Amino acid sequence: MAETISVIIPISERHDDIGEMHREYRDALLQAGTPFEMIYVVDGGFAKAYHELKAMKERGEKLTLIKHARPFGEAIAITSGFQQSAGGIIVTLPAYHQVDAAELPKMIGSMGDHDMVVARRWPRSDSKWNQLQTRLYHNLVGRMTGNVCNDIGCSVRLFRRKVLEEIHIYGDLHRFLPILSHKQGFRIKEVDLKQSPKEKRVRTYPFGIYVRRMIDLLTVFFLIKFTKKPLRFFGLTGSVILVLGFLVTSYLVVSRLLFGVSLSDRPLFLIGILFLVLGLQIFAIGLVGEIVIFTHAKELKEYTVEEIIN
Amino acid sequence: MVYRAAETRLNPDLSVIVPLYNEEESVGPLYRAIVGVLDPLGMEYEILFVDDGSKDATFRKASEIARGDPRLRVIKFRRNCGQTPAMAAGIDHARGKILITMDGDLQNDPADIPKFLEKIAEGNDIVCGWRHKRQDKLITRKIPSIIANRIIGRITGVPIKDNGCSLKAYRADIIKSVPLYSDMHRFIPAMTSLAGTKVAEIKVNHRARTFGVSKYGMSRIYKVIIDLLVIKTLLKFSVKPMHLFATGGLISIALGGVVLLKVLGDYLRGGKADFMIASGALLFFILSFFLFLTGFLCELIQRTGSFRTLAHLKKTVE
Repeated sequence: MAETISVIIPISERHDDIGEMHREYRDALLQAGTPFEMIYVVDGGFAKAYHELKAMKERGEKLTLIKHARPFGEAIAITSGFQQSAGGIIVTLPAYHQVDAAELPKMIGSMGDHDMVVARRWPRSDSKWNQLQTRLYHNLVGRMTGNVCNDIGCSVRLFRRKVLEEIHIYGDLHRFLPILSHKQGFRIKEVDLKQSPKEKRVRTYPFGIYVRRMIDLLTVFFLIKFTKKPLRFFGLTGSVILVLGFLVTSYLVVSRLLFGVSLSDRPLFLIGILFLVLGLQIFAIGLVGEIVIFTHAKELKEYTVEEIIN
Repeated sequence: MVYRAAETRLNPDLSVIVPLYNEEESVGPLYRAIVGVLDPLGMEYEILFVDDGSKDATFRKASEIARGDPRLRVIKFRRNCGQTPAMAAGIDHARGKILITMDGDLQNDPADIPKFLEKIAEGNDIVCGWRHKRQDKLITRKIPSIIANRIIGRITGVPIKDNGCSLKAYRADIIKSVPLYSDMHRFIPAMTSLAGTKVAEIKVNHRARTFGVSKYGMSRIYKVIIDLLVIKTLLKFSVKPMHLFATGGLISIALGGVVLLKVLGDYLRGGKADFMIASGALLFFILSFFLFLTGFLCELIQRTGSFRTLAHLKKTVE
């Protein structure tokens, strides 16, 4: 395999000792025996990591260093590393211990004719609490987006250049790259890599982080299922609420007209009207979504061509 | 037979577009049938087979034929994308001045193609096929289809008897400017009516499926209803974006206002203010606000989008 591998390592809030990480990754990649380049993307501040990398570069270490003027998020960091890269195969690695670096050659060797190889930390050596979180999360991810891989939190990924050329990632979408690629019809494979023994820290995040993960998941769910047909989603929710509101209101109106039950002391009346209004609003939003899609349909290609003959 | 590639590749007169999904048995017969019909016409043409991520040997068979005939082009999708995207890909890649789309399962008869070409030559922009002797089950396929086509015709204002027939002919410049996505191919005549196109309809042969299984089911009904709503909105919207939502806003403001005035009148005449009813009326006020704002949003989208190019497509300058 002569294709150059471009390694992209985004550096954001969570990172371990950069010098150590670099040595581990570099040695593992040297062992794999393929030509490679290493690209570090410092996302905003993190002066310490930045200066350390700069010093390493001055000492003659071969690496490309990109620095963002302010934090744009990991997905954009990966994108700017990608734009700078030259290799036909891209590897993203976390700037902290996740998998045992010595396992990387095995991962590179296992690519074959797949378009993407996703790592799964297995066997795991971290705390039971972390493992439980991972399991619960994947249960949910699998249910909402289909089972593509079993460890979406592991950012060790290997993929062909065309994957990122076709899929635009932003926000927190980098996490779901395997799912998005699968949706685009790329061939994906999962390999088990030994978890780094150094990833021991018990991870309990502030409540806000969990909420954000859920919102991300919802975003992906929507992106995968309904991007082209927003009204199919909004229409369903909208009509359920609308029908509910209609039933409640007409029940009350009928009992007022036929049996003279006064509306004034029926709070249910308000709920009925509220549902009617809400249902209409949801419908209207769905229609606006459709209009946006229609106006830009020419730019959003719905098909992915693999090959054209003649 | 030897074909000169250069001659067949640049701007042919005609492109025939056929989406294929798991049609390995049909590929060969279909190709031969199309060539058999088109060769005597003496036109330059190309055939586009769009392989919509088939799991069988469709692509292999098609590319074997394409190796011996440069007029056959095969587009392979990485995954199954659906019939409309397959048609869209064919239309995007076609180079002909006239485009013909047809089903890949041999239900359409290529022998009808010359009739379509005549109709286009008469000055029509779109010619739709009408399977007047449909070879399908009466209860589950034909009757729902007749009802659906009536409704579609009534709502879109383009009365086509058979929107579901894939065999259609288009002038390339018209169809290439229409956004095609999701299941919208059913509504192409309606969409292009935005541009003031002339639509004709002719009877075509319809053969029962010989290979493979039908890929449709009754579950389409919800989708068709929603799509219809979308088309109606788009048709209205393209002319006066604000009107659609503003009308809704006015209705709900009127509703809320009348009720509120009545409550106020009762109160002024010395009665008790009906709190519940007044609140209900206020909710409608909120709705009207929301709808007006949505209307504004639509105006913004209209300004930034590609709508106007479509709406003013067909015009004559004298």
